[in-house]
Amino acid sequence: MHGHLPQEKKEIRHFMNGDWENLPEGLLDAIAQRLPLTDCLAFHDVCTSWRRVVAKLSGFHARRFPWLVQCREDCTDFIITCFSVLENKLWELELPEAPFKYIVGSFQDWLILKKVTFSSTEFFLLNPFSRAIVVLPKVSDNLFYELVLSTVPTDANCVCMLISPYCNGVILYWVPGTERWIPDCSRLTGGKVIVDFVCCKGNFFLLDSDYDIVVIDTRNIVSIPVKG
Amino acid sequence: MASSSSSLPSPSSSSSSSSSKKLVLRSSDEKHFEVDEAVALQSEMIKQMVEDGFGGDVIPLLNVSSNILSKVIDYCKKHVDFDSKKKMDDRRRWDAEYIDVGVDELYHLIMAANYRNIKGLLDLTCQKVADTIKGKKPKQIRIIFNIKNDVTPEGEQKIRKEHSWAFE
Repeated sequence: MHGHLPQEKKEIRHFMNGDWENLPEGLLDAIAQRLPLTDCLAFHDVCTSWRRVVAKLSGFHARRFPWLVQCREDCTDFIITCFSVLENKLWELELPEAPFKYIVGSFQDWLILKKVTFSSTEFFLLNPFSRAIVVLPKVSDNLFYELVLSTVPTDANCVCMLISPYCNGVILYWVPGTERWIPDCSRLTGGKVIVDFVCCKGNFFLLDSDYDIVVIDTRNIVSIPVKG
Repeated sequence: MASSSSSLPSPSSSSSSSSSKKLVLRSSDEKHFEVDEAVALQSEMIKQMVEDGFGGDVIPLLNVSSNILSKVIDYCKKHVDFDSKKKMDDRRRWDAEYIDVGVDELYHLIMAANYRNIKGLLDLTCQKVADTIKGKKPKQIRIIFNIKNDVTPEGEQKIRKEHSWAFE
């Protein structure tokens, strides 16, 4: 016979709605730190208070596995595609700052964007996590330039080196807080073509076409624009 | 002595409790919970209070309701047992079952763990939130946690401004 199933005695517990949006910052931080990069980005986009926490995460980049950002040829779109090597996952990242700019590289958790017109070149540093953007002074020609950073642009000691490798090794420097590029007067490169360059431990290393290496100490550069 | 209530957890049958000192905790809705001192001391905050001489009286927990407090006590009790036995698999299984709760309950647990400073429970609740978020889009996360999307284009602009130091 089919009788009533005895209703299981279940404690009915009511809870007031959780206020997740205003969870204390320390807790949000503890949660964000447990997320892999792509999830951390989703977490970041949930609401402003969550976003703030992600932006403040200290040494954010240091804990993350590298991921690849598609270098786009067509740049009218503001969605860029990223690939997380560790999770084998594609991820679309909305970057309203991206249209009409090329993503030409990255430095730690900053993307290097470049915008070229017939008469000017402009570089931007964009942190897709904090959404901070640093606009570097415009250069009024469109030579082929590449940008090298000594450290993150939020560091006051940061030096950006703009180099036009094929054009007699034109070198320009910019440091945070100044409004123009300072040309390199040292002539260390002797006008030779620069085939490669890198910044390591506060020094720029340039390799010229004769395979000579030129070392430029960034600490010497910081003082020039500040004095000027 | 404190009045008992329907949600008073039954005295633990574990060996650790046979002769130990008891503490009485009072929830925000005025219910009293008598627990072994070892259980209550899982909370760093209560530990501090006991060290400061509050142990003899009822310890008021102003912003923890009785249903959450009983759940928190469950956790602390179980973990006092686990600490003496060191069975990691059992502990993991028990934790997984324990934390299988709705988001509202999870919220009150995480807040209680934070306020009471119960490290193990804090780790467990934070991990549960992280696991819930994993693999979801922001929109899905908002639905699950009942969060309004307050990221307007103007708001976004403002945040960006706050984090940008350029040329200042």
